[in-house]
Amino acid sequence: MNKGPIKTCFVIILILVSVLSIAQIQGCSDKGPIKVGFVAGLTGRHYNLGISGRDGVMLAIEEINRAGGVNGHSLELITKDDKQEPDAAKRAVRELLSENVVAIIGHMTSSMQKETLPIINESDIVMISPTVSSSYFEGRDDNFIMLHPSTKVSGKIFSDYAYKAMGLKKITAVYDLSNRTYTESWVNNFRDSFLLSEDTIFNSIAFTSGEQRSFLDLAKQALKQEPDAIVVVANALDTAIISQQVRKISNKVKIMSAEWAFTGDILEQGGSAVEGVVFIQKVNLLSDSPRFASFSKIYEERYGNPPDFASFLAYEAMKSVLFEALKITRYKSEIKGAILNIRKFKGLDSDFEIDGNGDVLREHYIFTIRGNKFVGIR
Amino acid sequence: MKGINTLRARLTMSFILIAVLPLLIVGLLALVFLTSKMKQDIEQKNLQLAKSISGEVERFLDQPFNVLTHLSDSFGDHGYVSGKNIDESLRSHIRAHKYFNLIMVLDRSGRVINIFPFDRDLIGIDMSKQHYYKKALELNMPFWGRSSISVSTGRPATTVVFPSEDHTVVGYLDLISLRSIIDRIKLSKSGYAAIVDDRGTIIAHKNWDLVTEQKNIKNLGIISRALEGVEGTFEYEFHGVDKLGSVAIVPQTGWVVIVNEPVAEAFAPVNDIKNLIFAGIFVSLLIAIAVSFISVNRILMPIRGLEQGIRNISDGDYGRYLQVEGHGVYEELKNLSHYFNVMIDDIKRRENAIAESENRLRSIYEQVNDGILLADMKTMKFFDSNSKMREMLGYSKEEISGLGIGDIHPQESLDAIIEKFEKQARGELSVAENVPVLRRDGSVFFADISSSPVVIGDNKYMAGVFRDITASKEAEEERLKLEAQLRHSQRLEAVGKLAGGVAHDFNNILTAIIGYGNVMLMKMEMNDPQRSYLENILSAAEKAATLTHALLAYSRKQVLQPQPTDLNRIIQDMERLLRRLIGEDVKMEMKLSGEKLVVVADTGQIEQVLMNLVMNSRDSMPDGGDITVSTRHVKITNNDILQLGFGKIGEYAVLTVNDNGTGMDELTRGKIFEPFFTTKEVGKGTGLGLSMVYGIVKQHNGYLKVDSVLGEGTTFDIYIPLSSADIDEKSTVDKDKVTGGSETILVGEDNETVSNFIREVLEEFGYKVLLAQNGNEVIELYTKNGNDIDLLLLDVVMPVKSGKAAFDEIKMVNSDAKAIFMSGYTADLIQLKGVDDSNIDFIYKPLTPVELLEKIREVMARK
Repeated sequence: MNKGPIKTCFVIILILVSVLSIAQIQGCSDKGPIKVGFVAGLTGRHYNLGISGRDGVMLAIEEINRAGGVNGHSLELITKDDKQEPDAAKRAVRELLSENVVAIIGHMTSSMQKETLPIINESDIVMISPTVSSSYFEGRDDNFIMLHPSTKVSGKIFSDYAYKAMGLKKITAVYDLSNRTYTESWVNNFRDSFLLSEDTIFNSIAFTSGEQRSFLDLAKQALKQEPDAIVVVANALDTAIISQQVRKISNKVKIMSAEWAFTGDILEQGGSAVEGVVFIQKVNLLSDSPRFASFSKIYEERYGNPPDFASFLAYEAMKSVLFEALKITRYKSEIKGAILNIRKFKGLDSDFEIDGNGDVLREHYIFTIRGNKFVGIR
Repeated sequence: MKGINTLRARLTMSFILIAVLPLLIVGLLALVFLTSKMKQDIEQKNLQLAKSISGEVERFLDQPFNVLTHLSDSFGDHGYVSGKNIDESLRSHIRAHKYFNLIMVLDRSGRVINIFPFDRDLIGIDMSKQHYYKKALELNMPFWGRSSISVSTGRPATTVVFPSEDHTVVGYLDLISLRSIIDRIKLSKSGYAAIVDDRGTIIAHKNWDLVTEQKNIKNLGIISRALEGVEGTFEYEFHGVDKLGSVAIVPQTGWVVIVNEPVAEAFAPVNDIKNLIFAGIFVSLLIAIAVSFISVNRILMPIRGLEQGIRNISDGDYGRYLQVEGHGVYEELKNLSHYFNVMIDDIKRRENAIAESENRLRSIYEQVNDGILLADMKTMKFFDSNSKMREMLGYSKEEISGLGIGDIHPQESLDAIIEKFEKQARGELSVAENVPVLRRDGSVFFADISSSPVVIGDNKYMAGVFRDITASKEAEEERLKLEAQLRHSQRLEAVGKLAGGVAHDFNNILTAIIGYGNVMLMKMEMNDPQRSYLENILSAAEKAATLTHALLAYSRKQVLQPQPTDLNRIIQDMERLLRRLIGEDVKMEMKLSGEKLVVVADTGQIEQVLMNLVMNSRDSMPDGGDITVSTRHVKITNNDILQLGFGKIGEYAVLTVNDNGTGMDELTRGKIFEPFFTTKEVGKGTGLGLSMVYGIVKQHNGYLKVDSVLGEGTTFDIYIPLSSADIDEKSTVDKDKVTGGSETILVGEDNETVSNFIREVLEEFGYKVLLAQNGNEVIELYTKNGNDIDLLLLDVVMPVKSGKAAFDEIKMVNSDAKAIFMSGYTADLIQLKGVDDSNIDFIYKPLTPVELLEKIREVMARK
C-alpha cells in the first residue's frame, strides 16, 4: 500500500498544530545567569547594615544587568539572612555554596564572619565583606577579602585624634557584645593605642544589644567614671539611644562613635543628643566625586533614602571588585586570584587597593554631626 | 514531496482541505475574538480585586487614625485629659486596640512626655529629628510616616502623627493585620496579592521573609509606575516568569496593592479554549483523513488493480490479463482494461519474437567455434566475450572484463599486433594472421584475428573474432615434416632400388669375375708371369664388391646377420686394427663401460660403423689430435626423449667417438649423412662412409646424435637397444679353415655363368653337383635323386618358380631337407619371395669360393 499520502497528511497536521501553537511557547533560552550570593543580617537588631548592604549590591547588579551583564550573562543575586545567629549564618553560607554561586558578598558583621570563615576556607569560593573590619581577619591568606580596613588602623588613628586633636585623656568605651568580634577588636585596638600616652585613662563597659534593660543606667555607669569622652561602639539605633541617655545627664562629656553607627538612623533617632558626636569613617560619604554623586542620586531614587557606608561599600564590593573579576573569569575557584591580580580598583570616591592577603588599604576620615548633618573634620 | 504528486495524494488532500479549511478558518476567528474578550475580562477582574484590597487597607487604617484623632483631641490645653490621666488613657486605648505597638505624646520641642508601654529610657528623649515628625509639623496635619521593621517586634510597622499647637501624638501601628487582608485573597495556584509602601518596600506578602527583610521591588516597572500614580493591569516579567499584575493605590499612605499571577495561570481559561479549538480542529482533521481515505480507496481500488496489472507487464509478466471488476466500476476503466489486454497480447508476441531472435543470436555467439571479444573503444578494456573466447584464454567472464589488449598478447609483439588492428580498422587488412595470444597461464597460442568496429547503443566497440590456428599450424608443420620424410624415404627408396638393381647384376658379374679369377689363380703356377695381372683383376673386382656392399648398407637393403653380442667385445677386437689405421700422430683412448653391453647386432656392420667413425675423426685431424672411443649404459626416459628429440623409452648401449678435430658448421652437419656428400678432396672419399653408418644404425633400430663445434671437434653418439639375450659363442665360425666334402649338392641357379662357377668350385672340392635352371627343375631333380641329395644351394630369384617356393614343396616331401639360399638382390626382395632371413642360411653374391665352401661346411656341420 502506498503510504505517501498518509505521511504527507501527518506532516501537514504537525505543521498546522506547530504553527497554531507557536504563540503558546513562551520565552526563549538565553544564556544562563551568573549567581552571586549575599549573606547578612537582614532581620534582628543589626538589620540596618544587612539591608543597606543588600540594597547596595542589588543596585550594582541592576546597573550591570542593564548594561548587558558579564559577557552576555546576567547576574542573579541570591540573598540569605544570617539573622545575626551563628547557626543561621552557617546554614545560609552552606545554602549559598550548594546553589553554586560564583562568590559571596557578606557578612556585614565580624561576629558572623568569624563563624562562617572555616566553611569558606574549606570551599573554593571567595567571600568579600563590605564592612567586616575586625583585626582578627587581617593578614590571613584565605578565601576572605575585606573591603573595610581593620580596626587596628582605625583604632590608632582615632585614638591619636582623640588625644592630640581633642585633648582627651580619660575615655570610657561602651560596646555591644552582640557583635563582639568587631567591637572588642575595635575597643582593644583603640585602647592599646590610646594608652600609649602616659597621661591617659581608659575604661570600658560592655552591653548586649536587645538584652540591655536600661540604657539610662548604662549611661550613668559610664559617666560615673567622669570621662572626658564616651566612645560608643554599637549600631546606629543603640548609639542614638545611648547618646540620648548620656545627654539627659551631661552636656559636657564628648561622645565619640565607631563607624558602625555612621548611618542616617543616628541623625533621626539621636535628635539633638547626637550633635557633636565625632565619628571615624573609611568611606567619604561627603565626597564630591561624580561617581559618588551619581550613585547617591540613583540609590535614593531607588530606595527612598540616602546611601550609608554599608550600601556604599557593598556597592563597591559588587561593582568595583567582583564585577571586574568576573570579566576575567567565571570560574569561582579563579575569582580570588583574579581580584588579587587586579589589585587596584576604582571606588565610588577614590581608588583603593587590595593586598595579597585580601586586606584593603584606604584613607580614613573623621566626621561629626552639626545641625543634624554629618560634617567632615579631617 | 514525491507523494503529493500521486492521484491518491491529490484526492486525499482535496478531501481533507474541503472538510477542514472552513472549520479551521471559523475556529481561528473564534479563537481571536474569544481570547481577546476573555483577557480583557480577566485583567479587569484582577484590577477590581486590587482596588477592593486597597479599600480594605483604607478601612483598616481608618480605625487607628480615628482612635488617634480622638486621643489627640482629648489631650493638651483644650482637651479633657491631662497629667497622669494621659498615661492611663494611652494604656486603655492600646489595650482596646491591639494594632498599636506604642503611642507617645511629644511636647512642642519634640521630646517624649508620655509613652505607653512605659519606657524610662524614652521619656525625655528628642524625637524632633524624626522624618515623620518634621513632615507633620510642616503640613500641620496628621501624617502617615514611613513603614519600617519594628526593632522591638520584628514586624512591619508604621507611624501616624497628629500635630497640634501644644503637643503631638505619635502612634506606632503594627502592620501585621495587612497579612490577614492579603491572605484572604484567593487567586490561581501561584497568584497572590502584596502591598508595598511608598518607597517600594514590601510590607505585606505571602512570603513573610520578604517583608522582614524589607525587600524593595521598586525596580519593577509596574510598581514604579504605580508609585507615580498609575493604576491598571500590566504584563511584566519577574524572575523569568511572565506575570499579569494589577495595581491599585492606597490613597492615605501612597502604598500600592498589587494582585499578580503568572500569565499562563491567569489566562488558563483562554488557553483551555484555545486547546479546545485546536483539539476540535485536530479531531476534525483525523475524521476528514479517515473519511477521505475510505472514499479515495473506493475510487482508487479499480485503478490500483490496473496499476498492479500494468506493473506486472512492466516486470515482464504477460501471463495475466487486467481484470477490473466489482460493483460500481466505471465504464472508462473497463474500456481501459480491455485495451490494455489487447496491448498485452501484442507485446507478448513481440517479446517472444525478440526473445527468440535474441536466443538465436546468443546461441550463435556463445556456441560459435571462434572466440569473440568486444573491446570498449573509450577505455580500451574488454566489454564482453563468448564462451569460446574465455575457453581459449582461460579467463572467467568477470576476469576478462578488466583486461585490455596488452594483457592477452605478448609484450614484444604488441606493437606489431596493434598495427595490424589499425590496418583492419582502416580496411587495409581483412585478417590479422598468425597472431600470438597469451593464455591466463602464460602459454601462447596462435590465432587469426578478424576485427571490426561495432556500435551498440551510443557506444563504440571493436569486435575481434579469434580463430585458434595452433592445431592447423602444427598439422601444417607435421605435414611439411612428413613430406620431407616422404621425400627422403622416396629418395632412399630410389637409391635403394638403384643400388639393389646394380648390386644384383654387379654381384652376378662379379661372382663370375671373382669366381673364375680365383679358379684361374688356383690353377695357375706360382711363377706364371700372368699371375700379377690376374691378381690385379681380382683386387679391382673385390673393390667393386665393397662398393656394392656400401650402397646396400646405406639403403638398409643388405641382409643382416644379427646375433646377441657384447659391444665392448666388438670394439676391443677392433682396437689393434684401428690404432694401426689412425697413424702415430693421432692418439686414441678407449673408455669402455665395465659392464657387458649386449646388443643384437651384426658384428661386421658394427665394426664397419666404428671403423668409419674413427677414420672420419682421423681425417678431421690432419695434424694429429685425440680420439676417445667410449661406451656406456643409458636408460632413455620420456624426459630424455623430449630433450634429445628422438628415441623410444628403453635401455641402450651408447658408443661414443669423440675427437678434437676441425669440427663442422651447421650446414655441413645437416648433410653428412647424405650419400656421396663429402668434404674430402676429389678421389679421397666415396661420400658413403657416414651414409653407411646412418643406414646400419637405423637398421639396428638405433639412433645417432652428432654434436660438433667448428674448430673444436665432433662427437658421435650411437644408441643401440640393449638386449637381454645370451651371447651364442658357438656361432662363431673358424674362418681360417676351408675344407671340401663328398656330399651331393643340388644347385638351382638361372644364371648359367654363375651356376657353372659354382659347380666347378664344388666339384673341385669333392662335392657331387646337380644343376637346375629354375624351381621346377629343382623339384624334378630332387624327386628323382632325393635320397642322394644332401644339400640344396638355391638362388632366391629364379624364373618359373623361385627358390623359396621350390624349397617349400621339397620340405613337404622331406622335412629334413637343408638349403642355402643365394642372392645378390635386396633383403626386401628376398622377403617378398618368402624367405625369412633370420631362420634361413644365406650367402651373398658375389660368391667367393672360400665363403661358399665355409658356408656349406657350416650347414652340413649342423646335421
